[in-house]
Amino acid sequence: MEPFQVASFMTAGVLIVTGLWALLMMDNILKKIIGANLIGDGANLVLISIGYRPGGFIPEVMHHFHATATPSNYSHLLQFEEFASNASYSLPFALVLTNIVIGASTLSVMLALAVVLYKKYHTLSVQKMFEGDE
Amino acid sequence: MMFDYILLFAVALSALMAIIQEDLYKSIIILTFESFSLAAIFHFLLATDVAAVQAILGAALLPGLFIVALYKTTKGRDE
Amino acid sequence: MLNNSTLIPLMVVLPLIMAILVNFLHQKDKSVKFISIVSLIVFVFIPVVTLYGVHLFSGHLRTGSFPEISKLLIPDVYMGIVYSYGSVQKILMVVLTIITGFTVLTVLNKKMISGVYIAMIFISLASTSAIMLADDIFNFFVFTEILVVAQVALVIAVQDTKSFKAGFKYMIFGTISGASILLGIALLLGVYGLLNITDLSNAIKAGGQLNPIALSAVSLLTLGWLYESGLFPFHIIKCNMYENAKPEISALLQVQSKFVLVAMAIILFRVFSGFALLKSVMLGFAIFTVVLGSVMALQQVELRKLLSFVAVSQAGLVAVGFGIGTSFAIAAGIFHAINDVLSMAILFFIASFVYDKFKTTKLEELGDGLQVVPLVGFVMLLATLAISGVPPFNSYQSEWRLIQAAAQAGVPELGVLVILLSVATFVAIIKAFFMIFMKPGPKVEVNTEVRGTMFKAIIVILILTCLAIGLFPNIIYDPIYNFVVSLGV
Repeated sequence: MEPFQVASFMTAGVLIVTGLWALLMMDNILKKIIGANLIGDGANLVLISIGYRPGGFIPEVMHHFHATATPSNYSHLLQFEEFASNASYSLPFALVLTNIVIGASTLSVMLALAVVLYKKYHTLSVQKMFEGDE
Repeated sequence: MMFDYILLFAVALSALMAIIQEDLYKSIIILTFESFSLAAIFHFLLATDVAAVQAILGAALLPGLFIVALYKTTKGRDE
Repeated sequence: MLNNSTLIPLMVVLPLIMAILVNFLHQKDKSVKFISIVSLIVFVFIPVVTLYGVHLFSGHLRTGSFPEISKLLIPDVYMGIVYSYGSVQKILMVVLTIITGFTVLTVLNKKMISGVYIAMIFISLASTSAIMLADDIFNFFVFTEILVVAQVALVIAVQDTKSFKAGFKYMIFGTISGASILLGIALLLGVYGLLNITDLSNAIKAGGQLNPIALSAVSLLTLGWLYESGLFPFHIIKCNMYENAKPEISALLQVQSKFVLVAMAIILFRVFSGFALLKSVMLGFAIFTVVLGSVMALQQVELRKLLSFVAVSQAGLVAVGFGIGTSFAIAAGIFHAINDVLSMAILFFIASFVYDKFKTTKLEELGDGLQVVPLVGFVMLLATLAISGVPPFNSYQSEWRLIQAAAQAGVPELGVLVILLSVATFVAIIKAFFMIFMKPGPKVEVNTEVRGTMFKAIIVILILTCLAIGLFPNIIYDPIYNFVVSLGV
């Protein structure tokens, strides 16, 4: 495996572990929400690293990508097998786009709940907010 | 060539610093930097459209929401 | 006959469109009422008339996969998103839409009607339908995330501090479980290159021994399953959600949780069919849930908390059916899920009625209910018998089949567990019945203007359904058994 892809997976691992630690161990409620954001970022990085092809190119075709308009050093890409074997795998990108939006909406609901809880308890500390529950 | 590895290291380091940092305003600024570096990483991993979405959402929208929430939870704190 | 391919996604799309419409018409009470009632009738009608089949989105057919170039393990793949509709989905959809209809009718009966609230109920209905219908694992994941947000919105609408805290805890753990399901899907995509569940199960069967990366994917997906269904480590969070929502909404939430449990367990079994350790792990967590839920239920002094612990322990019993693993046990588990949501819905609707009429649900403060509302007391007694597995009601049929399945699979001790759970449920709820309806001397005044005719009609219809299923179980059980046998787990 290409070293850049391996390094990218390891960074995603660091992001997920950091986010998980912040989500479970931090006392401040906004730090927990930052941790939730980091977990989502790590999962997206894993998905995109799966689709990487080293030395490949971005599989987006301009609308005048045909035989007379393509520069000569890209003309081999007009053949489908050449295109398909050199492009990166674009299915995970669709999953990541959806996941970024889901993450943003979940985060905004959590932030709204944090603001409301602050108004009731006048503190941002989770210890004080949840101390009466079992 | 080395720039991508520097960016990866910056993402990991700033994520760690964002949650260790005591002051929440600084923490959100570091988080913005981390989201933006992540968008650059996405471009180097050949996903430019995802990089655009991550740059908009992660570096402009979400820090904006965080700062609004932070403002509403520290303004009027009586200590 | 009606075109089959358009009606299947309509079960997901139409509730979403109606939710947007009702949200737009917020604070125009008459329009909201009219549109909600019309759409509820349509929602119940669509699953009944739709024929069985699959729906291929954008018309992408099953095509060849060029195995030499793509290195996929199977020769034919689905090229788009697929929704499949079989007999089990039909029964589950009909039960879900009927109980959703009853909940919305109860909500519409109050003085203040909120379009946003009903929109959230419709969104949760759409998400649960999509989770049951989807044959594409990423589409399934997106709708689980939408379901979390919709359920939290329904709980925090009570605007009580405890409900805010319950919703916040639910979302915190929802982030973890959503990330684990997504990582499991990512690992499966990386190893097998497929997202369709039918194709994944064929590819994993064709690949021989389970790849080590796929083993990590199993554990991540199982963690997500435990959260979505409210089993062992996450049962307290689910109980907080059930007790802090309004009781008629809890009746809806518990239906959705149990049906998501069934749908996701079927997906896990289809994808990882050769893996025996999965069933043992599921069985372990399910047994913990049953024991902890019933023990906590016996100690409660407040009606809604008691009912939520009973609901969680019954969900554990459904998971025990899946954990035993034979076709007979899985069919008995699915049958028990259907029976149990009907009985729990009756009990939650009764809790809602008690809350409206007596303004409290603490058991010490209630009493003498039989003189005020004798019909509701009688139905609660019948519902207690129904949920504990007393013949001729429906849970008797499903629990008897579970005990038989456990004995046939060689673990008769689980039959003892089922009986102990029945006894514990009966004791817990009959204690509540006594304290509400038969104990003398209430300490609260009765709200005499609450007639509750709609509640009484709903619970009478539901208890008659329980009785009918109990007397003729094979109408519902045989299609479920045939479906499970055709899965080939």
